[in-house]
Amino acid sequence: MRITSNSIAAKSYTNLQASLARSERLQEQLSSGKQLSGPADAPGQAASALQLRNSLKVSEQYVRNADDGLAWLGAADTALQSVSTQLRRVRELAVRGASTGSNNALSNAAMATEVQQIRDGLLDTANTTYLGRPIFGGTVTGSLAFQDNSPLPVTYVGDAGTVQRRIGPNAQVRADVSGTAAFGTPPASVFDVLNTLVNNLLTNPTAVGTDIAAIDTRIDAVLASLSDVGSRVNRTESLRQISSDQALALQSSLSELEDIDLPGTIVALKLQETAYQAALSATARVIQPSLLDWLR
Amino acid sequence: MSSFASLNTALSGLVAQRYGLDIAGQNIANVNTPGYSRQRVELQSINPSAAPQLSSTWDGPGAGVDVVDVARLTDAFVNARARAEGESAARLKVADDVWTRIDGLLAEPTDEGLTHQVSQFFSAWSDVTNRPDDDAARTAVVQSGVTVTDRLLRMGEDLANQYTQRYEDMGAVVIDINATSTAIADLNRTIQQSTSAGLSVNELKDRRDVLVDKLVALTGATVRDAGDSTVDVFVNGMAAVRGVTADTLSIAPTSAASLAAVRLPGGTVSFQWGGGIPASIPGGTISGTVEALTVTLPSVAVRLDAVALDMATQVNAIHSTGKGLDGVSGRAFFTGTTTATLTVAVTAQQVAAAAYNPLLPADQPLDGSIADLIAQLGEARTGPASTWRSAVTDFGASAQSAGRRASLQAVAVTEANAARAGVSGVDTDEELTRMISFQRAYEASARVLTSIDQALDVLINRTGLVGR
Repeated sequence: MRITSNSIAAKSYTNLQASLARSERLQEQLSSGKQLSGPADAPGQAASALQLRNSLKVSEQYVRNADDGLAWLGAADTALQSVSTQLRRVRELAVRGASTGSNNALSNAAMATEVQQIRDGLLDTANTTYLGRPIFGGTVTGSLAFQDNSPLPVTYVGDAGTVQRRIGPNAQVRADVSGTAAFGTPPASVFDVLNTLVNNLLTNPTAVGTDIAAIDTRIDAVLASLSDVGSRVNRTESLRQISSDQALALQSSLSELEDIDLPGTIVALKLQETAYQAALSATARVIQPSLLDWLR
Repeated sequence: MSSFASLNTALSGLVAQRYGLDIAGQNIANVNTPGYSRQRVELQSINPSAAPQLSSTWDGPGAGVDVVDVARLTDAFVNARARAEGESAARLKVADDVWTRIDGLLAEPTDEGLTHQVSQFFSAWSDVTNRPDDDAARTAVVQSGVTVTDRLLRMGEDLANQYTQRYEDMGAVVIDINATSTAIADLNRTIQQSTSAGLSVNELKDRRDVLVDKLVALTGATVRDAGDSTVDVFVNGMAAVRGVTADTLSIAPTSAASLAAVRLPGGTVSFQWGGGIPASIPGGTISGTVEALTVTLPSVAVRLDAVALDMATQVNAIHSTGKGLDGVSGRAFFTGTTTATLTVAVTAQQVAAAAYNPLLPADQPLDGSIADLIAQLGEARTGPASTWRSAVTDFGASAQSAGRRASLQAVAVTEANAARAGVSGVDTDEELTRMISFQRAYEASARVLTSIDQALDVLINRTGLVGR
């Protein structure tokens, strides 16, 4: 093929352009930190990136849900721990009250007052709220789980609904604690038991002995609820850890797909720069000479 | 032979060599002129007597040199190849431009992309599951729903804008085509007249070739040499230029001027010649644009609408089984079925998070089971996010292949142009060499003239003076 000075120039220009375009592409990747600038760069990779982004969002949401669930369970755990402590104190008092020989009416009245105080405290604890919702009331709208109707017995005003938190693709954890399981169903609730104890201490000290068994039943129920809460906390924490690990893994996969390999890109850019400079100097040499240089 | 005949021979040499110098000068002057084809002076020696006659007995040398022609060095095949490659490149470049813009409007994978916004939307549903009675969570669901519909709306509008813009550009291209056809017809006339007057038409032909190249790149026309130094240009068998007349192309009035119009049944883009004769454009920029207008953009719009519809259908199917805080059930979360019409149809209070139980018509504001079901759509294998993902993958693959085809074709164009430059391009070194040889020949002819002059001087002024 016949070569002319102009065709050499045109070809050199085309090659320089291509080289410059490669530099520009690498430059763009370096400055944005991303190797995928659009689906057209690599449609398959872009699809994976979208999938990963979606899964990442879902995993992060699971972690948030688990955190919310743990807060609920934490509140329930604290409340139940305090209930259990106070019931032990009540049992102590009841045992002392049952030893009829060593007590007089005055000390019984003092004990009855303390039990009454504890009962009121327990009612407050049973109505513990988290973000305005009673944690022992199921899905009830109001702010109370147990309503004080004194002198009539306490009634359960919560419902049978459960509060669930989704913490995995197929995993839901119950975040609330059934008020009736922990505190008993009126008229056999812990409040009724304590009311009876107060009455017996004041009016019929000989019957206090029978109350101890009822108190033990309530303590067992609270302990059962506590261990239930504990196992649910464990499960939530382990699933939260899985989700959070997964989010990390997804983040790193996503970064591998989308982000540039920094040293690799810098080396590629350096090589490209060298190639461009070589092309420039070669072009300068090829274009420069002309017959004119040797004619006078 | 006359004593002065040799003077004429030398003179013919002087004239011819100077002509050669002139042509070298013309070539060098046009070394950077687009479309210029290099020229060669065609020399022929003059036979002393043109035809043998009874009385012609001369057997001496010839009578010098004559310039018979100035040839224009082109190759019809190489030109045809360059034109064909240029036509494909123009067509593929339009497709590449269209897909590049579509690729840009997807904004994937970034935090501005639909994927991210759909994830946010379903994440907001998860928050409502956690706190069904919380106004902030409910408002967040409505707001993120609006963000999704806005994003779809904007993508749909961007496509519609691109359609309108390309349609208007096409009008400008059609005007350009008509101007080019008319210019070719005018040049045909000038070339025909100049040829019959015996004038040089090389530069005019160069100009005509440039225009023909342009017309081919715009329309995919075919070119035929009519034989009388004019060319005819046919667009799919119809003559855009025949001899000295040019036809006028226009966009048919029935053509769809908007993306919405072209998506209606029978919506299309077509052309007509003067007199309303239907025209079909087989290639070039115009056919690339028509493909973008009638195939690419509508198909992308259809996919976007399908994503919008899928979003509405899947969310509504679950949402309508739940009830809002006001106890009303059966509401659709989204209304509309296309990117343009999709809107959030509920207020924060009406967002259905709770399951509807006919036996329990009273509020259950703290039941989030429906919200939970909707939130799970976010990671469902066939959920709206995956519908969008597969659309993005398809768009990306189309954009990638359009880009590759365009860049491959650009290489082919470079090759074809290099081949054309190899035949028709001016090389300064070559012209300088020719210049030197013409210059030397000129000097030699002048020397011949001088020596004949000296010989005649001897004969006329010094002969017969012996002994004086």
